[in-house]
Formats: sequence, C-alpha cells, structure tokens
Amino acid sequence: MKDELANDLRAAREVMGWTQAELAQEVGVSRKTINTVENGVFVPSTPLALKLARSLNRTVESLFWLKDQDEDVAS
Amino acid sequence: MWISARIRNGPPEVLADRIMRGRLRSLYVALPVYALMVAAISFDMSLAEAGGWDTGLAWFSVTIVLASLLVRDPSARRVSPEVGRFLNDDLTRAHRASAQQTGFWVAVVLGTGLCLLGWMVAIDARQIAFMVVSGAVGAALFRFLLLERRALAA
Repeated sequence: MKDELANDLRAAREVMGWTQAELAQEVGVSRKTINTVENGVFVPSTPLALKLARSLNRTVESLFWLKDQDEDVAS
Repeated sequence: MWISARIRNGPPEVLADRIMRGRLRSLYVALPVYALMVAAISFDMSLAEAGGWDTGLAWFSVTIVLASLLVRDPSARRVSPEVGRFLNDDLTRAHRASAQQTGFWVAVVLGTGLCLLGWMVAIDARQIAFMVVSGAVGAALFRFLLLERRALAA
C-alpha cells in the first residue's frame, strides 16, 4: 500500500493570516513549493517540514500525517 | 536572462518568481528549436551529408547549455545568493532529480534499442551517440518543463 501524506498547512497558514508568498518568505522557499505542499503534490523533506511547523507554531505531527491514520481514527 | 534594475531591486522571492516564470517561457521556445535542430542534423546524417565541425559544435554548445538547466539555474549566479536560494529550493531540486531520471531511462531505452537495430542494419556510432544524447536531454527538459509548469500554474 502506498503511503499518502495529508496536511493541514493551508488552514494553519490562514490562521496566521499569511499568504503563500509570506509563508514561503518566512521559510525560505519559493511560493510554488508552498503551493505544491498544500495541494499534496510535493512531499516536503524533513528539514522543510520542521521549518514549516516552527514558522506556524505547530508540531510536525499536527501539520502532516499519513492518510491511513485517518481511517484508524474513524474506525 | 536579462533582469531589469527595477526587478533586481525588488524582494528576493518576487525576483525569484519572475526568473522562474522567465525560465519556463524560455523553455517553451528552446525545446521546439532544439527539436528542430536535432531533426535537421538527423536528416543530414541520414543522407550521409552531415555538416562540418561547426554543425557539431553548435549542437554540442546548445546541448550543454540546455543540460546545465538540469543541474543548477545559471541565472542564480547572476543575482544575489538570497534569490539563488529561492531558485534552487527543495521543489526545484526534486523536479531536476525527476527530470534527470526521465533522461536516464530515455537514454537506456534509446541506447539499447539502437544497439539492437545495429545488429540488423549498419548504424554510424556517431549517429547513435547523437540520438541518445539528444533524446535524453530533450526528454529530461520536457519533463522539467511539465513539472515546473504544474507547480507555477496555481
């Protein structure tokens, strides 16, 4: 089974009141990187996930999780 | 790529975004031109009228310049390290890796296919090398173009 990563990045960013460009600047990556992570197209590296979590005042686990964890929670 | 003073003085992430879009536009033009160039040289080779060393040098130069886009953005050197960091971020490096993988597999398939063909009909070694390199670089750049376009679209 292929592991799929889900994330709460968009919601966390909106809570902070930031645009994609502002978060990108904060983390030091391009806006397209933030966009593709939010849309689940790009799986971020561990350092990038840690930087995102730190910038958004969240833990990595609350920002990113495996999709099968959703099913575990539901059952 | 030419960068105006107004843009150069803007915020690094804005400058990086413009350079990325410019790179994408350049690829839209460069790839068909490269394909035409390769087709024209292949046609000459098939007629055993391959041009002189200047044709080879032109093809070699264009191939190296295009292939360098798959290693590191040349425009990143001309601007500040801050902008360079945005131009070579995680996603761009992942796109380059994926494009290089595509180029590798195209080279393997083309190379083995042409070798097999070489057992049946005589093929010039130069023709094989030309087709393998051109095909691999072209395919890798096409893959890079598609990935970057998708990422910049939204």
